[in-house]
Amino acid sequence: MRMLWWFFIFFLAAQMILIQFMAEEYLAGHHDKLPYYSAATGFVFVMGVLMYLYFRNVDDTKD
Amino acid sequence: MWKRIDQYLREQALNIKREKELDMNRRGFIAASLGLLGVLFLSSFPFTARAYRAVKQRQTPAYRIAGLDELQIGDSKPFQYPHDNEPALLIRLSDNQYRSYHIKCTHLGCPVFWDRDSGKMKCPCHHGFFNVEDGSVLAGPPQRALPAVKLDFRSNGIYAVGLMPIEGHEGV
Repeated sequence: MRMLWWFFIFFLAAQMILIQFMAEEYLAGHHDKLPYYSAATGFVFVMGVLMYLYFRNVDDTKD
Repeated sequence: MWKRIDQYLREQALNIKREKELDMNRRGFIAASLGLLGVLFLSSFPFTARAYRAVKQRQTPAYRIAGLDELQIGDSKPFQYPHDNEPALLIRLSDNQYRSYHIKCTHLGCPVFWDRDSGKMKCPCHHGFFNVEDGSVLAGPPQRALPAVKLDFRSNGIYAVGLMPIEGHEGV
């Protein structure tokens, strides 16, 4: 779980940067780029879920 | 008496209540951040939905400008697109090369015209010159290119179907 903690710190940072960029693109009126940012945040979320499940399995096995 | 005061002061100074302390271990933190990742993902949906709506509203119907052989090479035809107060110009450069731009000068809004002899688009007010190939500024006070109109060649004529995004001004 310690390694996963670092992964999650990275995911959180990436997600926040993506949301910030998305807000900037939205305010600039570049609407055609927004779905890509949305997909990117979805990707980070799915990666987070997979990572969590994997490390939880590893943890259970260790226990 | 003094004992009670002392106890009260201790409670105020050391207000750590072990029984109410948040149980935040590493696994709890990770679960919470997973939730936050999900919330951030969901929060991107309204942006996208709003953007799609804006794009949909901006879509304009096709407008027939001219017939396929209506213009001779070097001729131009003015029209209004997408609204009546937005004048544009269709220019035929060669057999199968057409260009179309909004003709409000990007300097102060004078109507730009196609000067066939010089092969440039000219603004008569302050002598701005635009490249007919891509609408970019060649000379004069304007700083921005002319917005180009998207053309579609159909069997019954040439249609204006939208506006080309200008580099750096895509959504504006």
